[in-house]
Amino acid sequence: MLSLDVLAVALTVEGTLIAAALGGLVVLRLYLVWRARQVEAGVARLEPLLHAWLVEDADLGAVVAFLRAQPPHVAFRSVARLATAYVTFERQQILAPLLRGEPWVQRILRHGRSMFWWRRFDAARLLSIVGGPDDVTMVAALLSDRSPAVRLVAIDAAARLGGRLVDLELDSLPGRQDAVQQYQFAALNRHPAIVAEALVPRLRPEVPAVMLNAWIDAAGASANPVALWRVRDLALHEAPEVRLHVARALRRHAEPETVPVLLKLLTDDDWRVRAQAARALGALRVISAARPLALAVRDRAWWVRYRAALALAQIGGEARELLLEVSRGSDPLARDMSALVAGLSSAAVVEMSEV
Amino acid sequence: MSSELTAWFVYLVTTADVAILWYMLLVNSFFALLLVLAAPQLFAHWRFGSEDVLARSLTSSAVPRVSILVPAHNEAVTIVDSLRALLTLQYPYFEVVLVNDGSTDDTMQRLLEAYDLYEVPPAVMRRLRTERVKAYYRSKTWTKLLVVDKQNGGKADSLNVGLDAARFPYVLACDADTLIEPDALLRLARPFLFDQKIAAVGGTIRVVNSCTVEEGRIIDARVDSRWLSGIQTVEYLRAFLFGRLGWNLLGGNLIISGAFGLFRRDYLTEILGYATSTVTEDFELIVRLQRYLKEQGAAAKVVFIPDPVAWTEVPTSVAVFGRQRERWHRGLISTMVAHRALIFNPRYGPTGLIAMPYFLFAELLAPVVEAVGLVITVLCTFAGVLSLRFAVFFFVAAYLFGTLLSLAAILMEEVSFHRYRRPLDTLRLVFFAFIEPFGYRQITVWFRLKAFVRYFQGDHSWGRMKREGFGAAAAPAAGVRPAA
Repeated sequence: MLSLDVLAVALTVEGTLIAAALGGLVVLRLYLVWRARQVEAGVARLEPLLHAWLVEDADLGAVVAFLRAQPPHVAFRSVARLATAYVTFERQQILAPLLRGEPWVQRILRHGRSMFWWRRFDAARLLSIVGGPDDVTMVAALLSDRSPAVRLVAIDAAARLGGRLVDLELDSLPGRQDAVQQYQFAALNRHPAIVAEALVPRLRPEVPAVMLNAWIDAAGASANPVALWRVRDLALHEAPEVRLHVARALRRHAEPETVPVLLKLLTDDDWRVRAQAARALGALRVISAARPLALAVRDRAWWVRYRAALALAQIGGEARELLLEVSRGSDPLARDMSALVAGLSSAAVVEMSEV
Repeated sequence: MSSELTAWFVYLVTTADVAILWYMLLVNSFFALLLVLAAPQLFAHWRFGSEDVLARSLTSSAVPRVSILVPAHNEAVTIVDSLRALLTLQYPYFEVVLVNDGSTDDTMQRLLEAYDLYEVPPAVMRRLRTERVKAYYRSKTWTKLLVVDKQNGGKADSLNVGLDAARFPYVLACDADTLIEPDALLRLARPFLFDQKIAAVGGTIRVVNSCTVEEGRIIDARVDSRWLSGIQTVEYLRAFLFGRLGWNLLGGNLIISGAFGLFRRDYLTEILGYATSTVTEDFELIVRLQRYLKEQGAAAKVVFIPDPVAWTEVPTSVAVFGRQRERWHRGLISTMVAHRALIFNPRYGPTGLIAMPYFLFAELLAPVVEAVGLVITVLCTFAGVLSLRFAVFFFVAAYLFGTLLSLAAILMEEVSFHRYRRPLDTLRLVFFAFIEPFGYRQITVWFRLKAFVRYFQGDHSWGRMKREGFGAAAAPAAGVRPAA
């Protein structure tokens, strides 16, 4: 049973902790307000210097000297905030070598192997702005960090450094979930020429379907013509999953030779392939595909009817006339779908076709 | 004989008293454990949610596509503002599916006028059994908006209609009276980019009463000076900042607020959507989802992250507050009864061995234990069985522990998100943390006890609620459960 002594001890501990919490509230508020003001002041003073460099081509030395004079956390947070918001990738390439040797940068990058994830996180964030060829090993380690937050930020660093880091990332894509694959590739593709160079040799029919699918999606997202030529050659792949990804990716490949491939895919046995082919024909505004698309609005699969109707609306002109014709036809399913899409505004058609 | 009876009585009440003391010790220790588990996670989310990292996500076209489901029943006062706030969220790809659940006020009329709606054919794949849908509408001005007008069937039924009409693989369920911060959806989608298997993500709900709201946006976050809403503000901070965060490491959450949760749509359709037979469809859904995931051997988790924020009104009158708490507890009872097979069942892992027993003993039975303990302690003290000194020490210890937990939550808020900028608001939070055990707790216990009576009477009603609009003292239509 609880004795009075135990309760008395509990009361003392609780009272002490409450006093500590109240004191902590006061001290923390003062400290955090002071620290936030320090960073805000740093950002406010750095902004015009960066602006002068970006717009008027002023001397970058002033930016570097200013940051050197700040406490490391102020310099880091100011650069992290402003570089992400204002400085283009190309300009970051100019800024990076100048900052890389600065003592405050060295100090934060030394944390790349820290046991605390938030220090590695800051190092990865900074590497995405100032990373150079000497940092490839560290970025490679951060890409496989045990913290998902660090891994995600390290992708940005890998994108700016390219080389074997891009290969590492492309090889890891197929093992990721869809949303992660897309996000990861979007980050990587900030350096499109290097990415396309690494991607094209991977687009071969003998590659296992699960890997090929991820790389086809990446080729589609990159919209690189050379990569998409290779994708088009995979349109007759035996695996329906691969044909589905090909049809989806080809909506970014505006070449005359793509049209017959997509029309063939519009009659595929797999409804998912037919739906994506319809979507691609709409995205490419293939007027000659209007009649096959009008037939596809009568398809037995809901998604094919939906994508085909949207494609007709997206193509416009004669294709839209065909859509209206279907909406007055005898097939109830086709009539409903075409009536739905025919009533949409142009903006809605574009938006719904895109996603 | 009489002295023998007295001895038995003394033995019984002292045994019960000791059992209650141990119960409180265990439950409070568990709260302390949640606090310890939550602190490092709060720090992690705060760091990762920093603006520049978020800005990068925002510019990416690769974020998951999300359908926002908004059930609305008699929301004419706030619907236009709430919907505009949703339609202007900072997120690349989303749609809003608003389901008008047979409103008897002019909700539908206001929508038709404000958003220039036109009727479209029912080209929707129906998978779930729901009340009859009267019509689908699209907006000529807002391409992201789909409005579904249906016969009244309740919130769960409306969400099921929304699930069917949604186009995207992820769905966000939110209340029409909830204000979602512009970047909240982007933050909520973050766990899906971490390459972890996630079935659902919940975000934080905060109290909007007394905040300045303009066009559906929180301009100035304030703590209400009125005792009832002020104490609820502390209660929400405590529940969200360490209660639910702590559960992430203990086998997953059993509550994702119906007002603000992001789900993988395929999981929701596989479990046939929301249950229409319960008055707390959000809690029931998550328990059923966790059950389904375990039975299927799926590794996907239900997680909570603290930095996505939505704001909701809390009741300012005791009567409305009572109806809300009574309904929540009734829903808890019915869900625990419906899923009793999970309790202490090792097949369901931490959900069966930790979360469900916790909800049974520390949530469902808490008002009973608290009421019995209060009565016994008073009786024993007056009968001279328990020393007055011991009773006073015990009450003060329990009081201080509760206050300490509240102060810890306020401290965590100050260190991390710091939404309340004025020192006066922090002072108010501290004040309400100290007065919460006097009156508020006892009122809550009373309404939760009433829930047992109404449950056994077979009552399935929600109770009448009245809405006055943002910026004024108002009661929520559904409210958001803040329990740990």
